[in-house]
Amino acid sequence: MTAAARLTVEARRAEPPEREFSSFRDPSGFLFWRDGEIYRAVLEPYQRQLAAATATGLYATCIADKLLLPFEAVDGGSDAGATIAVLKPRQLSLITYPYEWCFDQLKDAAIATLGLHLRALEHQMILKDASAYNIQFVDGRPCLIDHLSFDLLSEHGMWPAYGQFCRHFLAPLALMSYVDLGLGRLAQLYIDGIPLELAASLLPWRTRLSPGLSMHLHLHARLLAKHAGARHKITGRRLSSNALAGIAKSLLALVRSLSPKNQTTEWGAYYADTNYSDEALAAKQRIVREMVALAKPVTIWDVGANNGAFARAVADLAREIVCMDVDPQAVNANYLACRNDGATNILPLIADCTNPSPAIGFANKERLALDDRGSPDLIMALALIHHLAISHNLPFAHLARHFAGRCEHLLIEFVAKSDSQVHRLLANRKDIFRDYSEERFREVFSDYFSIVLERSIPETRRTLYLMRRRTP
Amino acid sequence: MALRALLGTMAALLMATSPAEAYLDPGTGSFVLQMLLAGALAVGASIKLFWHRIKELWRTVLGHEKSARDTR
Repeated sequence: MTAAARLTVEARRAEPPEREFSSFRDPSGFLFWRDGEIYRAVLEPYQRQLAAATATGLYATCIADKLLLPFEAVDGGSDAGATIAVLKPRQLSLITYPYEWCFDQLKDAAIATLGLHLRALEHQMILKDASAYNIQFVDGRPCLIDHLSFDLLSEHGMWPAYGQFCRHFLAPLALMSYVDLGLGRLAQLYIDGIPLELAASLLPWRTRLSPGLSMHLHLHARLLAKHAGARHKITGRRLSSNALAGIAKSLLALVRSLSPKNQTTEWGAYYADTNYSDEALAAKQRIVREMVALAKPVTIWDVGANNGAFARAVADLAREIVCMDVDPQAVNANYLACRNDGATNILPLIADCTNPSPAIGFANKERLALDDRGSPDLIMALALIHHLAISHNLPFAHLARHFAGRCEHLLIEFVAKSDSQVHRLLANRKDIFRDYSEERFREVFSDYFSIVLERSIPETRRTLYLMRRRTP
Repeated sequence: MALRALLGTMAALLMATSPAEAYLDPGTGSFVLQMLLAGALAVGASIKLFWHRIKELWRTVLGHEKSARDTR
């Protein structure tokens, strides 16, 4: 097992095979944990589909094109009597959810989903499930993780996942494109995807003039409402493979045509508005590299990463870096930069460290809180503490305790009160932050961490600290 | 025919208001729309093919006239 995977599953170690709680929707199979690793049990109802996806080469071609998570068939492992096969997929270190993705991540995930459906149609199968939760970013690219999502074309007269695709992908993309980039978070409220009636009511009228949105979203919402009380089974002709491909291609063209709304966000142009000189920025980058090299982390969470400039500067020093930022535009810029560079070990995410994703779904156990999904070896918190302590009134003790509960090493930048950026934060508010000083910062953090290295950043009033958690 | 049905349905639905029902069936509307879309896409493909043939025919006629003039 990889060290990264170990982080996520540490708590489950040494337990007998345990069914994954959230894996209950599909009668074709379920996920279970064994020795801290995840497996998929395939049940008898999926026998023909498993054989077809294997025999037609659908699995192989999707895996070769990095659209499907690689897996191997293994022996036994599940107690369920109807199990016909057990698949061991490549283990992932962190599961992320669609409401944590930026616009272009969701768009790429939508394109991958439609690509998988079209690929399946070529093999006389379909993608029966178009849930955005079935996609994960693996090595920087969207990838289907549910190997039981394919079904035989002959079993279906229509695409059963059409409505789901529109709720999980089209509705949030349209809202982020026409209304506000932050509306991707709406998916957190609706675990089965954003209701199309709601999306239609929020979209501006002019979207009715777009043929694609008019059909797949507005008309769709109307028809759903019109037939909501249907008590009879609808009868109609079966759609051919070509007709289903036509619908998927029409959706593909629509998704491709959508672009993120051009709006000014709080942190979107952060690096064009800092108080660093070029020399200071270069020096900061040097020091950050020196400290990361000293800590030797496998995984890094860069909290308040903005467009990921510092994560990219240390990308060769860790196996995986998760960049978290609250600003959807900054995260989008980070994702596009990673995609253009072909970066495979940086994962940008929309995450607010003052209000991280909660646990949602049935019993609050279907989708886990961000902090319950993994913990890194090192947390980078660069140019962040003044925002947390001053903008959010968070006491140093809360922050130190929180970081110490999450990571072995902490690379944190202290920004003095005399710094011009802190002046900006305090420009129009009363300075009630008497405890905000470097001495107090060191004192409080020293209760939880020992300072390994500290370096002043030349030409600034800022200091970088590498700290190591004290053993309790 | 299917295109007319689609446009008619679109117009009627965009103008009408429909009351929400208490017992929701999330799939029926999606299935009905797929049938309409498949019909419309088939009509669209036919028109495209038809248009392509007209263009080809036109090109052939013009090409003949042009080559007839060229040989004079």
